[in-house]
Amino acid sequence: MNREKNRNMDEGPMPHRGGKGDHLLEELAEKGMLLFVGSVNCLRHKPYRRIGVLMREGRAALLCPSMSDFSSGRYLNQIVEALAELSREHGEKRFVIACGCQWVILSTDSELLKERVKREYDIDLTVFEDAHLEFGDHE
Amino acid sequence: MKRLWKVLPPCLSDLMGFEAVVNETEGLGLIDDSSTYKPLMFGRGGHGRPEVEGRHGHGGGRGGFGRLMPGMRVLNSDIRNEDIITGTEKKVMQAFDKGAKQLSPNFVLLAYGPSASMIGSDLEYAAEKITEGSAFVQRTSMDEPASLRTERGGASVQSGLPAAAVKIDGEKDYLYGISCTLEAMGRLLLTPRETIPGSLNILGANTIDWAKESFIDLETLLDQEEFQILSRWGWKETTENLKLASAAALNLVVNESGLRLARYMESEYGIPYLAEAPFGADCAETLKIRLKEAVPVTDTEHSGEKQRINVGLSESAGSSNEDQRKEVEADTEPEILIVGEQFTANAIRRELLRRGKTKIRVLSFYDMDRSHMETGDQKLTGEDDFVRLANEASVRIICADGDLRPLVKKEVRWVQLPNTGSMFPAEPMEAFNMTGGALDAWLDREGL
Repeated sequence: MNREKNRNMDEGPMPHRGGKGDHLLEELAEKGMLLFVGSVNCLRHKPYRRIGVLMREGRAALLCPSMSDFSSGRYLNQIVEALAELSREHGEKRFVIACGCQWVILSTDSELLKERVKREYDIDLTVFEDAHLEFGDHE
Repeated sequence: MKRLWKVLPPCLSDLMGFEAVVNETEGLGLIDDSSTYKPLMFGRGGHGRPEVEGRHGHGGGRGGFGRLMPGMRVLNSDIRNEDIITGTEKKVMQAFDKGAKQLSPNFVLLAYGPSASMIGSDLEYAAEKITEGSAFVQRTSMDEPASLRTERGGASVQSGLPAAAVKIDGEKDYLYGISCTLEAMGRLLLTPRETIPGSLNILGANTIDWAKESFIDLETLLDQEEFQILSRWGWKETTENLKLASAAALNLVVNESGLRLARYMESEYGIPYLAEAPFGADCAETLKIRLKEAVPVTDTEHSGEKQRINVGLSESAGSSNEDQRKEVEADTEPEILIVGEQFTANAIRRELLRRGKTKIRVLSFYDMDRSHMETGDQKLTGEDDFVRLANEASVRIICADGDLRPLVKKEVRWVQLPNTGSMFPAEPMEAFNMTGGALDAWLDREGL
């Protein structure tokens, strides 16, 4: 929600022409394996247009909880389970979560989640806390 | 695990199905969401995914709110953070006002974006307000430029238009979205009418799954048999024709997404339906016979009343199909998997069975209708389901989206099917003509 948090994404060379949204996904994926958490509809946005290629390269995955998963809080356990499965299969310990608007609307406690996956699976998690409501990819 | 996608790119969402339908009508679609919905590329013969490449791009997004892109009849409400607290009603009405001014729609459909769904936006109430004609929104200097206010004199669109909310929110697949949108249109637009003998509606032929040539050939086939096509639900159509649909003697459902509307029209207006894709020469011939039985072109005796007929799939594929069904049911170890939209996959299976192939299963990641499934068919809830089935020792041939290939860890013959329902396919393949003999020709080329 806070643009200040994303300022670092504007730094460095632009690998593609266009705005921030054109290269954001790959910048995120450089920080670790990318896990998108949200509705399939949120993936229509520009940053995700190469998600299929990243998935094929084993650098990204999607977790699409249902609305009831979100509203009941089940999505938190699903995220942990997904990270554990991906970590096991890819031997990866660094992950980046990009999220849809649900994450922010529900005031998800990212710090608690980071602590949990570190403690239980020794996973270093970065959360890109920017939902579509404020995201600059909508230009 | 369920809901975790590691290889297969995302499919088009239910809201994109909504968009695909509304764009072909004279209505207006409003999605209570923060960002612009861009045209789907299939509309220009491109691929069925959001138009994001610069080559085709129209800009859009926030700067473009209120300006509809070419071919678009769907606007977003442009909600922001503060609307999560205060509610989205005002933004929805503003979007309606702007859309109505530009398009002069005949009806309005509203749908929930994921964020609007999360906060429980009341679009049914918004639809009521639009219908009642109370959708006036007081403009402020923040809402639009002064020049525009002057030009329009600050007046708002008079409404009274039929409007309804479609209960989709971006969570499910495009077929589900098309299906719910078509049903909502039916509920909104149809009223009882006198039956027109020899008439039918085409339900579910949509611009994502169907190639233009397929649709043209279907219309030609029906014209040659002198059936009167009253309306096309999912394809380009006028509101006037859509309203005529309740006068049809029969509904022809050619895609899974048309079933929901067909069942509504059967229960509400007594219109029976025949459900199958007219793909394959044999199937097309059988279909003609079945249609003639169900829709007598010159039957004045039955004029004005619906003829109750039972034309489910079990009877619709010809007399020899019953034996074929038994053969399929007897096999527990599939040799051929067909993965895709259910009616298309069923049509391919039918033709392969006719060619002597057996042990065939239809699978789909999309909405599937239980009454059109054979034993062994399965709705796939995730990649794990596909991995388990595709890697069974008996499987030799897989007809599916090429993007599923990395999930198969054994030698199989891969026959690629169109993946126009995929949002960002790594191996794009356009829809192609399968109507009548075109399916046979394709199977011949594939050596099946």
